[in-house]
Amino acid sequence: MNGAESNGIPNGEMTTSTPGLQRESTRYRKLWRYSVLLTSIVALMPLIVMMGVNNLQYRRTTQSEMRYDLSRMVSDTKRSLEFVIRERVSALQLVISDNNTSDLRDDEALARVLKHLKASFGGFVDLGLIDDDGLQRHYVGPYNLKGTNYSEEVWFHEVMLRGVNVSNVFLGHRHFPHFVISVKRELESGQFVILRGTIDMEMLTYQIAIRNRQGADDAFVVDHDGILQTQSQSHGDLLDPCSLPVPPFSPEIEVIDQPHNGGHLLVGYSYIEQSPFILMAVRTYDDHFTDWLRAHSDLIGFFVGSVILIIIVVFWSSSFLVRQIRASDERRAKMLHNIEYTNKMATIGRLAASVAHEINNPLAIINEKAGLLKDLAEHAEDHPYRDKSIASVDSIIQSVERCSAVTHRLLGFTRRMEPGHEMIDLRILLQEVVGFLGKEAAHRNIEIQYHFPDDLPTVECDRGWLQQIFLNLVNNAFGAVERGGQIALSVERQNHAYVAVRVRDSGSGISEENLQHIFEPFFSTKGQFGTGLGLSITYGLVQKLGGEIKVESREGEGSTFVVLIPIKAVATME
Amino acid sequence: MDEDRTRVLLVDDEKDFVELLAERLAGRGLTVDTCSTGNEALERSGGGNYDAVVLDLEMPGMDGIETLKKLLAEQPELQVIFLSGRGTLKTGIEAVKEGALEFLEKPADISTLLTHIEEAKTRRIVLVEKRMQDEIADVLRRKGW
Amino acid sequence: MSEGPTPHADHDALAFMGAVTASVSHDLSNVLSTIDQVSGLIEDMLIAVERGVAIDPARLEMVQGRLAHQTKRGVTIVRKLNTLGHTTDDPVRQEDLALVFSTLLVLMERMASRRRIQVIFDPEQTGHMVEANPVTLYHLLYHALLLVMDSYSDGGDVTLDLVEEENSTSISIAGHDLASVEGGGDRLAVIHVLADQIGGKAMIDADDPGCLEVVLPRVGGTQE
Repeated sequence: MNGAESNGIPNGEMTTSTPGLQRESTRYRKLWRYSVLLTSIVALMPLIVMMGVNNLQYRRTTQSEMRYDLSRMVSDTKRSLEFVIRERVSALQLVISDNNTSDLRDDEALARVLKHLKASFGGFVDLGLIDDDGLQRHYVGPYNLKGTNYSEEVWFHEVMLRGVNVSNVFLGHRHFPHFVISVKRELESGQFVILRGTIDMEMLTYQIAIRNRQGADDAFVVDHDGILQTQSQSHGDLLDPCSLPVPPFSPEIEVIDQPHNGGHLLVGYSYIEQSPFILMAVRTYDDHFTDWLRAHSDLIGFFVGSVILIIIVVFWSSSFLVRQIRASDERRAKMLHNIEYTNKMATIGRLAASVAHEINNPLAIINEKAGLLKDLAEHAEDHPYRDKSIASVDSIIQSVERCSAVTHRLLGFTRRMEPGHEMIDLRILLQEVVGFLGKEAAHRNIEIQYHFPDDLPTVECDRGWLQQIFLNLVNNAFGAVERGGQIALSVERQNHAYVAVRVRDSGSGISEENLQHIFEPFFSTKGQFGTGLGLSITYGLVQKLGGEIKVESREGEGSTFVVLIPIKAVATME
Repeated sequence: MDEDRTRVLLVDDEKDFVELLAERLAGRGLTVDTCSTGNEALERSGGGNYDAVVLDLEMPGMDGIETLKKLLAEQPELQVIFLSGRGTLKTGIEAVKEGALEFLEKPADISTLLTHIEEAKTRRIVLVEKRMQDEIADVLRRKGW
Repeated sequence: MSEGPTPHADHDALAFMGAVTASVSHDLSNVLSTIDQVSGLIEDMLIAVERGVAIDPARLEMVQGRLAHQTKRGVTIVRKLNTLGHTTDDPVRQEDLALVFSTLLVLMERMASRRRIQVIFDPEQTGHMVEANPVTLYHLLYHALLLVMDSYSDGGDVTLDLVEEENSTSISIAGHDLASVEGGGDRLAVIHVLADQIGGKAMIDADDPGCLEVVLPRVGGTQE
């Protein structure tokens, strides 16, 4: 509304409320939603994609770092373990091939060898010498195993076949984990002798522990059947089956993704040469997202800030856009409406005038002929229907008179004098007009407010018409308000060419439907009193003065009539 | 002045009418005064010496009904007869309700008017005597005789 | 009492006709009552003559004078009433404002006298012609006069003047203070509508708040 008023062009009758307002506003809401959605997507998508890519890259980098750490750890540990095992195998091979078999067939000598082995290499628990019949002939160690027959054991056959054997871990008689290394020596006699050393598993466990300062959450050894050879932290106890499957053989160090318990684990492994052992190192994936958040807090901050800013801008610009569209729609609709209304009023005027002119002539003839008929009837005294004829003619004449009155009234609209040109102070004029209603105002306790600025130009206008216009409007306002109501009169300069007078009442307002017709002739809502001409005359007068009149009203909220009066008299156009 | 003569005040703004009527009444032995407005009537009747007041309904300034009210407020026993050219049932009833003795329409027959004036005089005498008796009784009661 | 305007019916010509005839019939009834008194007095005289009392010529002359005056008055009223009655004859015709006012002033005499109003008007100001619907014209000027008469609370002079202007005739009706009239706004609105119907306008004089100005298009003046 404000936009329309400030554009300076008086735009005639206008209605604040238009039909289908509800439907209209949902249409604009929809438009607003689309605009918000579309601009948000366009503006936010690249940002979100960039963040996603960044996240992905970070994840890849961290994962490859993890893999590298894990594989290095596995590699180190594998070498250590292989070294420990090979060293002990070599030691035993040296012992058995360097000495005479007979020397070893002496418990004291064997004890001395064990003592030396313990001192040089560590980890040896006992030593035994076994003949090719599987019988342990000699034994030094903490247990009494002399005479044990191993001929049925798998490792015995293995060592007989290959010369060297490293056994799985077992608890043995004393319930601590150990494994056995056996080496064979072929004697000249074609017989065998086997040196068997038990190694404390702690030797391997220690190696794993020191290598795994970092890189893995859990590192342990399994045999080829998946039985845990060392204690694991979270994948099973010693000599229990490992909760992870046995990884496929590979001569290299491998790092694989292992699904586990619904998640993924990074598993590095390596087969340990010359042994039934597989070294496995397990690393759970880090919560990389939290890490990422922590590592890129500045970037995230920037992202969140940008998103908020973009959303604010999107909302604001969409609202602005939709408001602009709506205002321009309304302006256009109003303009169309005004043009239509002005045309309508002009058409009504022209139509009324031409109809009145056209009807007047035949009316005169009818009147004359009816008079003649009446005279004839009156003179024909013996005519059988004389009285009836006279009565009929009388009613014809009466009807003609009524028609004449109507046509004359219609002609009155078009036959007006030229406006006078006086310099008029609207404030004084309005006060004069209200003076007429002062008594009624006092009776009905109606409050009249004036909002008159000090610097107001006088207008060059017709005093009588202005009086009539405002008397009508103020009178109307009086009709609209209840006892104790309010009427406000204000005058202000609209722009360089017009002064705006507003007559506002606190009455019940005008319904949308009535608002459409309020300036049309013979339209009245007041029933008894309304001549139905007041506002249409007012409209005609304002037009004639080169001004504009409009009404803003909402039912239940009162009405405001706005009259724009040209400051300088304009040549009337008709 | 003859004490028995009936005294009448004619109030009407139609000068010709009131003067002619006064003359005719005078010819019938009445003492007649005339005036043309309600205010004059109030002034003239101040002495309380009229047996009847004949009032027009419509006069410049104060109208008939208003004059009637003021007259009766000053002198409750005063007998007022309306004589008007503009008689409607409504105004007639209103006049009687306000205490008028009669409501006559112009042109009224002079004998009818005379009858009503005589009636007014009688009623007034009765009322005045009654008031005097009341006053005497009141004085007697108060003095304790 | 009921000739005062009832705003709701004011714009209706029938109400105007009713108000005027009611008032005028009162006047006529007064005229007839006076004549009736004359007749009564003559009757009284005749009775006196029968008793042998001589007729006083001066008295007879007085009686005759009154009779002549009342008859003349009655005739004037009836003529003007007739003029008013014939306003319905034509939808539009030319009227001389002097004649219109002399008619209206007779018909409204009672209304004026009740308000103790003296209307000052020179009936010689003839020649101000207006073309209009006669009923509306009379109706308009009746309301205009009555409004100005009501501007006095206790009687006074109402001055009527006709001024010829370039294309119009201006009728100024000067009284006391128009703003003090009870219901003046509604009544002025009615005057506006009536003036509008015959292509004229009505306004309160800028310099004199007691003066109502009715401007009507002049016959022969340039019309649109």
